[in-house]
Amino acid sequence: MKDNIVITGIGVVSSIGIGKDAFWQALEEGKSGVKPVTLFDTSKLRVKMGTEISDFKPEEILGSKGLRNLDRATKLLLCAGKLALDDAGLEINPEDAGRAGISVGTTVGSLWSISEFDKSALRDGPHFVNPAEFPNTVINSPPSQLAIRLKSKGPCATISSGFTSSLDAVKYGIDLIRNKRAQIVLAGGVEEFCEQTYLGFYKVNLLAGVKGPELSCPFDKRRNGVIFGEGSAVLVLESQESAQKRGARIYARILGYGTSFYPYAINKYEPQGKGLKKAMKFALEDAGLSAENIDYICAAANSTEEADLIETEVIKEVFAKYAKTILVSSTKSMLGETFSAAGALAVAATIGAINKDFIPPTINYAQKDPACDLNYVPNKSSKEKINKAAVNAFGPNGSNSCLVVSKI
Amino acid sequence: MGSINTVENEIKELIAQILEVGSEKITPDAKFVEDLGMDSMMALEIVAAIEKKYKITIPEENLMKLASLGDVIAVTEQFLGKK
Amino acid sequence: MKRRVAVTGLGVVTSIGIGKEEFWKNLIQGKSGISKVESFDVSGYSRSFGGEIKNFQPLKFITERETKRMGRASQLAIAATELAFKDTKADAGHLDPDKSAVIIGTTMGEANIFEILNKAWLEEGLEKVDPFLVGRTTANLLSVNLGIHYNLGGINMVIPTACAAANYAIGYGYDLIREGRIDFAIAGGADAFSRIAFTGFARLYAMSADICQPFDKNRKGMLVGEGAAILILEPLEEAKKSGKRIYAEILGCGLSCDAHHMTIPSEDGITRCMQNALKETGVKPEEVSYISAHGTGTVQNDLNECIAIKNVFGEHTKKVAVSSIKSMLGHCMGAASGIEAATCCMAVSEDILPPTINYRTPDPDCDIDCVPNEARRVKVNIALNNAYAFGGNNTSVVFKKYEG
Repeated sequence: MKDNIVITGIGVVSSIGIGKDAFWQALEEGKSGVKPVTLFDTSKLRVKMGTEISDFKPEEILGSKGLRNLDRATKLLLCAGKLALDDAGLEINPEDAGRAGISVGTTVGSLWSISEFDKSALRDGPHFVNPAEFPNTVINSPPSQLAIRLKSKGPCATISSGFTSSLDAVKYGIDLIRNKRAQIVLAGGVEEFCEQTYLGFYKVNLLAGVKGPELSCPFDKRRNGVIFGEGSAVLVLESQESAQKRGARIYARILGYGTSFYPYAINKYEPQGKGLKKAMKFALEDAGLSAENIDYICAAANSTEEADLIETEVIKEVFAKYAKTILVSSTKSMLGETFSAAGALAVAATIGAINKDFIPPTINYAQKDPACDLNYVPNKSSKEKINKAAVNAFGPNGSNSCLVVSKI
Repeated sequence: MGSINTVENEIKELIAQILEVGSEKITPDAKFVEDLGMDSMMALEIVAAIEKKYKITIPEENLMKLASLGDVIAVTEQFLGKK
Repeated sequence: MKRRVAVTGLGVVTSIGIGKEEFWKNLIQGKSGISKVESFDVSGYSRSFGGEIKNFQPLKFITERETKRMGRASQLAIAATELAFKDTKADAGHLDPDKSAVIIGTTMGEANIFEILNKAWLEEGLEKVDPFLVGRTTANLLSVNLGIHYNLGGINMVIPTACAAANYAIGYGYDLIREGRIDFAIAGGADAFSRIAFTGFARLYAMSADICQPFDKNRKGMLVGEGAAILILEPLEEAKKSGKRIYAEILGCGLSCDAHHMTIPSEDGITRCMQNALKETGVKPEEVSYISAHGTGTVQNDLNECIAIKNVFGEHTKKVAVSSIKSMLGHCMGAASGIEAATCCMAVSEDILPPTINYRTPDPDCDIDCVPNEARRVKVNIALNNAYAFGGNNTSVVFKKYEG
């Protein structure tokens, strides 16, 4: 990939830690964000768990004014965005506001907002809806609210591609810089914990706890579905030149990106992972690397029977003889499946691994599945110096993406 | 329905909440736009909240007239009376 | 190294015509697609008009089985794509999946399915909600359904940037071809008539009671519409070599964000957007023949847009024709800027400007040449397609006449 794009700021709001340092520490400790759902009633469901962010207090990061009409997705993103900007040591001034861009992956925006607005119209009549809630019903609302809060006046984009949304948003952000439409871009993703999305996952049989134990245990023999979760991660992207000019701390370089949609079916994983294989190969090509150069893969494996096996098989195909030695782990064992935010959280985790010399573990690993036989760094993080890593994202609707990052 | 004073206080609280200012700042003559930072969406929100609370409908042309607490109370009373 | 980008196919599904021919013919005749809303009960609303497509027959484009598996927005998108493929005589089966992209813009995604689910949830309870439908509501399915329908891999995504969405999709398709990443883009937008959108705009008092009158002194607001538009984008040199019809060349696009308010527009944001478009493409203000305005017909938007046009074009303002086809179609949400982009392609290709209809009384604050009421035959070299979304997400895409 040309133009040496680097990451100079990281903001994370997650179920295991808020802020990059707390997040990285929790990853290293193998902390789990899984807990009983409190935001809505699960008594009629067979499942009860999720990775909610308990005690989420956005006013601690954003101040108390202007939050009144904002939904949870927006507040999560605003916090991650503010943390990222501060972490990068940046301020957006009126003179350079036009050169600051935003690119956020979210598939549904705030599904809760859309649903509540529609239901209130049905219940109370269309005249008695709250007009201030209407703007929350557009999917591009969270990123636009971030732009309003930060007064960021460059391009503002929203990318919806399901499980790969935030990696694809990062790519869009990279392209904004390469095409000289922005100098810095806040790129990432967000997913809010809400009844609507939870039920969506439940009804399409993606949640764990119906066919087996209610655990997030990627690669484990007992795996039977995801634990749904929420979070937001935002990265500050800029060219290496721009970063060096302002004396910014550089966390990592983005070496390559690959994506490949594989048309198969709705809500069904394509069993041979043909799309994921292409995405990983394209990413390596784009990075000018071969398989042996990758030290760590931050997997998309999410504790479903299909995905974890598919990813294992694809890694074996792409990495061949190196597959057995490469380190692979799934942060979803700790964070749950955060859908549109997953890619960005995984990149944030991987950058932690690169900078702090540790591999986040795959926790809840107790029973080996003979078909999943790679080194998944089970249960405890391991101290490793890693240089280059690949971050995967893929889902059961055909989208597959891969981002390659490296130490600077 | 409560006394006019109750309605006045309720409206004051409602406006204070929407404009995110202390209710003591909502004097009968304080100008919403110039003194209290109201924008057109907040104006709409105030009217919508009053309509919902008192189950009345305030026709759109009255939106322009709502420059201060005094105006809002007057219009609300007008349509409460009509109810 | 950077390649030139051509538009080689157009497919549109609108309330005034399905397919480019019918659409264009009716557009330049100033035909209105506005009618009484029938897709849901509007008796509880203060408004009752919109730009629904009354004669869309999905079975002309997809199978019966497919109609049960996807919402109306996806159906409109596939129909528009089918029409675009026919228009350029392309065949999805011959495309290299690794060098293709499907990029669709939308505001409400699959709102119709969602609206059905919400109603069921309220009236019958959560347990009765159809699980099959639940898995079919996410916005990304607009591009996924297209990809599956055509068995096409490659880049596949939805850009849901509301009322500017299709422009974003077209802009990104342009970027990807220009840099050589892909050789074929299916780019545009789709939105089905949405009860949620209708409710919201009516509640904001942003909706007209009958007609949409952009730039008119007595304009009373927008109208909700629906539709889909797909542009086929290819490298210009390749298209030329293979003798394809080239409607227009895309020179580039400008992007900006107001960073001001979710619904109240900012003239600064849209001024900068047009300036960015001209800067990126090297086009001078006096070289722009036509602007397809965002022109929703609201007091605020049209005023701000005219101020911004004057800011950018200065003394040349009176020489640029500016029309809003929303006067005829209403606001087709995510599809609007796609339909308007197709219009720009036809304008530079046919040298005809579509009118702004319903124009009766000039507004001294909107003193631009809005091509009032009647289409105009005139040489059209460069057209600018403006689209501004909720959240202040602004785009301007630049189209140039292709003369071989």
